[in-house]
Amino acid sequence: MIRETTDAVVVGAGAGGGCAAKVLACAGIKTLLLERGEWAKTDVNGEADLSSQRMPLLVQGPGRLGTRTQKCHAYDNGRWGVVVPWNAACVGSGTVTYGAMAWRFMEVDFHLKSHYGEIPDSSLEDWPISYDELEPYYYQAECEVGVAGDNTGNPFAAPRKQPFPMPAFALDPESQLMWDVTKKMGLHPFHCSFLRNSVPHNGRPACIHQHFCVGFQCPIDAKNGTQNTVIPVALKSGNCELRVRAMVTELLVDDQGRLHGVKYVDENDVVHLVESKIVVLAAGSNETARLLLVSKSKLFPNGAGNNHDVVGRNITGHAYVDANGFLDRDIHTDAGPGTGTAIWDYEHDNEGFALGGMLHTDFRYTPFQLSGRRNTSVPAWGRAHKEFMRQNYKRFFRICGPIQQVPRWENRLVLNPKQKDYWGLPFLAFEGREHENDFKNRIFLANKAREIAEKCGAKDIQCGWGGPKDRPGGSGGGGQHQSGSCRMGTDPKKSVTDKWCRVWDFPNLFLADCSVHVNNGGMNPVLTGMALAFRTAKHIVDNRKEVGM
Amino acid sequence: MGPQKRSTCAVSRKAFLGLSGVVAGGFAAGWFGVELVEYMGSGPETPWRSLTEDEAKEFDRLAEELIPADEFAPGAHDAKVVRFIDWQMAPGKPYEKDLEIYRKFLALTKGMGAAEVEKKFPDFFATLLRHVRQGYYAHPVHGGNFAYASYRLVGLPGPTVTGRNVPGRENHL
Ligand SMILES: Cc1cc2nc3c(=O)[nH]c(=O)nc-3n(C[C@H](O)[C@H](O)[C@H](O)COP(=O)(O)OP(=O)(O)OC[C@H]3O[C@@H](n4cnc5c(N)ncnc54)[C@H](O)[C@@H]3O)c2cc1C
Ligand code: SF4
Repeated sequence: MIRETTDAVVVGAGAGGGCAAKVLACAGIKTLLLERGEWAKTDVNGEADLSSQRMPLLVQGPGRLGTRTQKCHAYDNGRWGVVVPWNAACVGSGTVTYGAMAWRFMEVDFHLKSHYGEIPDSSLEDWPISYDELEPYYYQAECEVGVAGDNTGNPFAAPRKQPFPMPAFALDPESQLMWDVTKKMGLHPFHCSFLRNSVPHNGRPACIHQHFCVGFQCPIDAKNGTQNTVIPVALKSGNCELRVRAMVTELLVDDQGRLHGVKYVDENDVVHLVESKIVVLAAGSNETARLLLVSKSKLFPNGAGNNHDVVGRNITGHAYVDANGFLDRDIHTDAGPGTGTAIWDYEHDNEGFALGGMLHTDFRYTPFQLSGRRNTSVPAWGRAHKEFMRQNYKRFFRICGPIQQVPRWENRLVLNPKQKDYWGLPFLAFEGREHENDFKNRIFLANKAREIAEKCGAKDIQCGWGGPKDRPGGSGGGGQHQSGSCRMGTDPKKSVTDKWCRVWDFPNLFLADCSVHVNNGGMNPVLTGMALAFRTAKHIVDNRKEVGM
Repeated sequence: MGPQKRSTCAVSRKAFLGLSGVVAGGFAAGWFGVELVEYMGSGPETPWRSLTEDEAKEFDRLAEELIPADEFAPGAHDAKVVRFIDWQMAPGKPYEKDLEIYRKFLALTKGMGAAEVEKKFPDFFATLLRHVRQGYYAHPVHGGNFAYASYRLVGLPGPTVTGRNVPGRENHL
């Protein structure tokens, strides 16, 4: 066993953890950043689609599903099963391979309860902060990690104080088609914003438009994750040490209920006890909740910060809907990666149900992905199927998007009493089901997607409704957009942290990942997680004394 | 040993970056050529890593019927789809446990056409079709799609930039 001391420990070098570590280290705080995975390498991950995060059929890369990074088990209709760890385990986590869609939530997303009133069977709440309070940190994330976009034409977007740091990408032909058609329909198409360089930014090149982007590490580093932006800045400051293959297994809480550090296991299975003045958990919504739950002590017998049984509850993700069809002409060019137009017309205030969602053109499909999406009149194999592939790869037309889910108190992560992982920690299990409202939302949005696809001239349209109903939080709670397991709030009985993402009952324990989201927006969540992490870390720096430094 | 992605990544990258000003948003034909050679390799496939010679032949025959050669692109045989499944069922590989299924059924399918196999052994056929599609349409690095047969079929301009880390690193996907 090795004992050591530091000022701050950040657990997890993903989206939120990278941003938090950068702010702490650059303010002169001695920071230890612990990450269970390692640096991702394009040589290893390359263009291998069946082991990319787009389609991890063979292995999951980067952040492979090895015994050391295995994530969780899902409880689904009484069966236990392995959940594919959609978010990576590597420096940068999902930000290495994400589609990099970068949205600020809408203003109304911060006070849904006030807007919609009490929704039965839901745990819908207002956030303890407004959009305005987060606005400067959204901008910080957009500059420091790097976002290209243009909101002109989107009347639903929250007001910005500054323009985007980089101009939007030009539309690909598929997105141009959706743009023209939705405009004619009286809707409000606008440019998707991305954590990708449309022009050289912060010393890295502009995107060269590969075919595939989402699920793959960018070979030229034009995609902005924390691994190539804020984490290198943190390391350069001289105050941050990053340790990879370092699995944190417990928060050290003494009998008086004081948090004084973390325990982690290194790649040689040596245990380290790190004494630290503050601890920032940024292990992702699932793993942050698990770390709190497993860290039992005298005053917190159900896990750190869990005396009111809130940790792990209210989880959400995103259920996706889609409409897929074929045009009568080629639409895709040689330049990828597709997706450029979005609409937010259906995000809120729809007829007959609460909330809503976004629709956008999608990332370019891989040939293998399309091989499973044949037109119903085409045989599944043989010459005709091959001919179908040849003729239609460039004609495939697809619109998709996430719905904002209604959080439920009963949708939660619990410790699996039966199975333990390599580290001797119980796996996570998921409990709950989708809210009735989500189902209506999905059907509604999928039909809208179909309508747009039809008007775009797509034929043989097939819709996806977003998976089975009995799974909490979209893709089983363990999906790419996992969030909400430790929501922030004003009432310690109903939330895990206060408005500064400080865990109730601990002056020195903070969360800096998507686990604190009160709801997950009808759009991808990462920029909000980064903004919150920047804000929380600044709060720590500004209040060093109060938090124990 | 099957051909592997070789170690000229660093050179290729330099070549690419040299061109990138010219091809922003597009792809340089020269680039395509360089990478293509990388994956083509040469030499015989045998010994197989998981299948027997007999099983490989039978798989190959069925695969070619599922994705036959035509005037536009090679079929499953020339795209070395059998190599894909052989690699992926080798010890420690993700489809290792499917070897049992192939061992059983490839002994039973002799002389049958694909339609008959589909009718008689629907579960096996579903697995076979899934794997053949993967071997043909997924990236060559996994073992099939030799010389980017399917990418050329659908008009995808081949590989783009791969690799910028350590040249010479053995591909283990
Ligand atoms: C393929 C893909 C595409 C995506 N596309 C988008 C998109 O377009 N837009 C968008 O907004 N979002 C997207 N996402 C989701 C986005 O990546 C996540 O929302 C985001 O990464 C979550 O941030 P986080 O800080 O909550 O957790 P993470 O970024 O997951 O960070 C958690 C980190 O903690 C580490 N960790 C966990 N437990 C431990 C432990 N015990 N000890 C040490 N380290 C630990 C993990 O390995 C990981 O590195 C995508 C994700 C994937 C995988
Ligand atoms: S599309 Fe652009 S950002 Fe994405 S992987 Fe390719 S070059 Fe990188």
